[in-house]
Amino acid sequence: MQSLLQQIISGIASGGIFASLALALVLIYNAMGLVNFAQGELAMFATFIAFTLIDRGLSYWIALPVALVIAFAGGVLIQRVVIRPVERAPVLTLVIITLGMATLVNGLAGFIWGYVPRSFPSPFSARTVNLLGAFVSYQDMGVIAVSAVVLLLIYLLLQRTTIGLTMRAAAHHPEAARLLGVRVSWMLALGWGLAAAVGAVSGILVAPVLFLEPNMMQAIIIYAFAAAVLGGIESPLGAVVGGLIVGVTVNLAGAYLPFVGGDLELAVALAIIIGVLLVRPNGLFGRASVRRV
Amino acid sequence: MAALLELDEVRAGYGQTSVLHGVSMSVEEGQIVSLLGANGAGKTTTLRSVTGGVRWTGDIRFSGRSLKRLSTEDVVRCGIAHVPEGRGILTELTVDENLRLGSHLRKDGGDVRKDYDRVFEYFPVLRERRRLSASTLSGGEQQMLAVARALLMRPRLMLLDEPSLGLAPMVVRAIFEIIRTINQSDGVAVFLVEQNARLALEISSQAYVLEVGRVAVSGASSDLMGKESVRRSYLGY
Repeated sequence: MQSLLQQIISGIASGGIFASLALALVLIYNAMGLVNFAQGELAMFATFIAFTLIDRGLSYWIALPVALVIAFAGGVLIQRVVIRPVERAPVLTLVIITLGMATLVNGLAGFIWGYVPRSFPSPFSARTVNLLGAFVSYQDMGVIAVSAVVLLLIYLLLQRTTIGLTMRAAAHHPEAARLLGVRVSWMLALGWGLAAAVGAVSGILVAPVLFLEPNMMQAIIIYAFAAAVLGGIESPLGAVVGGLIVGVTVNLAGAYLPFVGGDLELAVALAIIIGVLLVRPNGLFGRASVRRV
Repeated sequence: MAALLELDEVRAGYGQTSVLHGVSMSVEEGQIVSLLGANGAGKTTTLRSVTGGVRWTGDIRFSGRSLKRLSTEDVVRCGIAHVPEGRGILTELTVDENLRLGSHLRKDGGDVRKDYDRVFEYFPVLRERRRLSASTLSGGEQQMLAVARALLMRPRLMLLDEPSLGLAPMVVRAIFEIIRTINQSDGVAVFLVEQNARLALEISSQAYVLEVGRVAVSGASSDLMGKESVRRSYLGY
């Protein structure tokens, strides 16, 4: 029983990481109707920036916000320079551009920092504490706390502020939003910045566990896809709930299904994607896309 | 006196198809002007030209300033509220959020609150439904929401694209009453596109009739209403 609770809590911790990246995917999806395939690589790149800052002697808690601000600015810049000129291009063009960006960012990180895995410091100790009989690490609790705070901040920004309101308006109905004086193109750029920052959180949280190297996020992005699809690709809340469900499910499957073990955890995520698309293509929180003509 | 809105030999179209072939019109400060004509005559395109929803040549001036090369956002920020065809309601958002999008650019907090009170006085149903998703509103309520939201922008000119479309006659009457009130008490000029010519002529002082992208007839609304030949050939009643 204790070990079940233990597995669930560490599942929630990985779920928080998946949820952050899934939320980044959803933010971009809402802004341009397309998943950004480079999201994981952008997160990895931001993590390397955080690593460099810490390496130069900055404390973790200063390096984290600085890296997030840089990621935000990078996201805005990418939207202005790379995406905006092709805004009206067919979907396939945009898919290829984000795929190309993924390869480019991956190669750039390899060029700058090399492919040797590095250990990334964690501010949380790996010691465990006894919680209702289960042994929970400070690391897991720290990850849960940080992702909870970040997700809450994003929620408040989108739901409770005027800028969040105009961002949502621009994402859902660009034409109507323009007629209300919303600077749609800038709102989409803000969406990119926000996505890059929240994605960077997932990279920075996962790096102490996985070791930092350019391919670090390639498995995580699959879990994030599963989470986003499960939540209904358009729903920020769905991304968070989906992330937690995927985190816990994958962790439990790895622990209790002997044939899954540690090797097939990724396959569980893929099974979730396929299952959702077969049974409930709109996900848990998505709405059926019925268009009146 | 210079007009509030002036269109000067405006040509516009979509891709290869041109829709407006040199249209000149004007709306004076505080006036209601109706724009009539058959389907496809170019009424909606005329309004869309003003707010930059379609590429145009010629000149469009708003209180003396050319709108050439201004983005839709900037035209709107000059003081033009455009309630488009289909009303432009953001159905993913709540009624209240739609209204807030109307007032989000305003800095005069106290006056905004007064305007909300007034809007809810005009359309009590919106106050009741504030927290609900805008997608739950009926067609008439959505039209009310669109007009209310435009009013909260505190514009000098409102462009209304077929506010009567798809609504029950009673609801149409109510909405037109409020358009008249808004015009009279706030001095907001209104440029009104309508299929319902009789209703539009009753409420407006000037009118233009478009026929395949050209102004076929124009003049005082009462004159147009009185001329048998104009009514028969262009207005269909």
